[in-house]
Amino acid sequence: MLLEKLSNACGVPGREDEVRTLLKETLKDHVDELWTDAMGNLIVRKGNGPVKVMLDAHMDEVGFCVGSITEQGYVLLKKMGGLDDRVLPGRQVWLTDKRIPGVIGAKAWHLTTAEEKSRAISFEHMYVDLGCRNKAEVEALGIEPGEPVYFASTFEHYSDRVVKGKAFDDRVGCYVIARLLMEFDHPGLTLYGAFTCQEEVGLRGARVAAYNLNPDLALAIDGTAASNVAGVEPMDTVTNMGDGPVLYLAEGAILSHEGIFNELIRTSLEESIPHQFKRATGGGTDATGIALQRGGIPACSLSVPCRYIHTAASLCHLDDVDATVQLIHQFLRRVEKGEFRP
Amino acid sequence: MSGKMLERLQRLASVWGPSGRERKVAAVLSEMIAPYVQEVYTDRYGNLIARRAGGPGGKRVLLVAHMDTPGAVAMNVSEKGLIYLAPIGGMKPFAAIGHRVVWGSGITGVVQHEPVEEAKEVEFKRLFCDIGATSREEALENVALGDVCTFVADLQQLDDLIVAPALDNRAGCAVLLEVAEHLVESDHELLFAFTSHGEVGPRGAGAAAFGVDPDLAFVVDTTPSGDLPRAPRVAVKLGGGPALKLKDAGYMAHQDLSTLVQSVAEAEAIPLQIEISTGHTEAQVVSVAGQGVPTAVIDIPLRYKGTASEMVNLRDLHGSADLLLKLLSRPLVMG
Repeated sequence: MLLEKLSNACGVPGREDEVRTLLKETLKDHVDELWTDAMGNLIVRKGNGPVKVMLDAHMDEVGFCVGSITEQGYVLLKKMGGLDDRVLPGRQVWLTDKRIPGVIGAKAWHLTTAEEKSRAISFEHMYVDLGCRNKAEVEALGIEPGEPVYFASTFEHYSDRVVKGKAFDDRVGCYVIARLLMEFDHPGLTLYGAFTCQEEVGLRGARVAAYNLNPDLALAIDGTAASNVAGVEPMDTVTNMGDGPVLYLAEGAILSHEGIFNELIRTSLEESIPHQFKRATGGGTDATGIALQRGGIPACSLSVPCRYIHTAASLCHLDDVDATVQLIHQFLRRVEKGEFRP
Repeated sequence: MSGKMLERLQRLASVWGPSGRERKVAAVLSEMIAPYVQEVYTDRYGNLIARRAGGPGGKRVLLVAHMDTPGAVAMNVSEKGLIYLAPIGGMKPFAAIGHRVVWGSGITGVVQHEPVEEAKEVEFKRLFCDIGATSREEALENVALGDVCTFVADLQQLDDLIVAPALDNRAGCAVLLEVAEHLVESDHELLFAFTSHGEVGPRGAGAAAFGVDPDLAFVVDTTPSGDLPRAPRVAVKLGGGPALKLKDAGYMAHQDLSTLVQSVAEAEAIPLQIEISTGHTEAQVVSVAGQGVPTAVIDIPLRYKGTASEMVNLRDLHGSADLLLKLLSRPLVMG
């Protein structure tokens, strides 16, 4: 399954090659044109219709890079993207694109004081243990400062419709766009798939892609936080995994384009496809970077709700993925037929 | 100076238009500015742009005032039909408690906070709007999740002082209308941009500036005055005249254009305050748009920003309009 391959592929910000190559191979026979821009965004074009639509999903995932190597042979990390210190100790990681295994070590439970047990280990005290005895042994593996480090986590099915993997933020968005390009034709549109880089460090790739493509409208498809889990009150779940694609009520970094936002809701209601609202402020998606390009580009976020994003094991419901594909397809048909223009 | 300034403020302060939902206020401004310009249009970002033709040798000048206000968005509805809120722009939870708000549909409500023991427990998450609904279903029939409300209150005049919601930045909009009406002799081509998303970002003005591609720009906005207890140490007071911003958290003034503004104010005996603040203005996105735009900020001092009772001095509004009129009737040669 393509989502499995995408989740297992590795790509921290600036090192998206593996994801890009996988998407190129997957899509080359389904699109009319395909290129990589100067920033590293993979752009595909399908159709030549009068309305230019950009579908954006970012290829990069949160992770780390090697900061330095100690004389004793431990690897110290730098974060790439937003990561919670509390979920890191004890995690297995892959170093470099060769996936050399290591573990983010922590002092044994037996040796920690009561005071240490009561607080999270701070990131400065974390290190990766590869079983090496000194710096030279680490370097002999080809590990050097700047090399990427990933959560060692492999895609699997937890149930027939719920899957687990790393990097669902935003490989699930890449998957949604790939499916739209492979499963449907929208001859009335010039449909651009923009698989962007460096989102997790400041929405960088999407800005360049949107500036270059200058579309009539854009949707940014992302994996967003769902918190319908044990111990969270229903009003505080932000989004619910399993309740359908997510529209943002007040995205911290950009307010959704009112016209697109309303049309997505209308489409959802008329086509009996579920939708839900992200009930939180703060955060931001590529829609922000896109909307502010040139004289303004009508842009809106649409996300797939995922639990535990930005950790080694996020969960995603395939019903939400299918509904997101359907909602975008039906929305694009309305644009194609001239029933909606921003 | 015309007596229309107050009339315009009165009208503008009562129009609903939170960030991202500016269509109503854009329609009103469009109607108000139409008699003085040749063309009015809305750009892709929702900015309203009005163009007044110029003559030979004139510059292309962008005049910017954001038209949006802070507000609160419906995030959740309780079983009892109370609408829980999240802020859009700079609405502060303690400033909203007890105030009346109006939703886009015209439905009104009262904002209140869950009971707390201490003031420091006040947070936006626990703020709700009561529209008189008795159940979740009834509330959702009137207000959908995602709808936005803003403060509603009558405008009051206390001598030269005006008190009303939304004066940030409907006061700036009123100044631009005044300029549009009274400018007689000018070869400059003027583009009045009433911008969107000024309270969040700011954003719309950057798109407007890219689209217009002007030779230079003036941003007219309000700025928190420094004449209150524990106010930020900004040497700007109500009634002291317009303030020329030299620096804020996201912008450094264009030196030659600032010098020009100062020299015109001096020559015309218009009181001018000099402002260095810690806030943000649209100048930060206008000045870097496209190939770069020399930009000056004329600020109207304002008290009680982000509340239902913002306060400005009419004389500062007239001073701002006067200064712009004097500037625009000159060649605008810099350096």
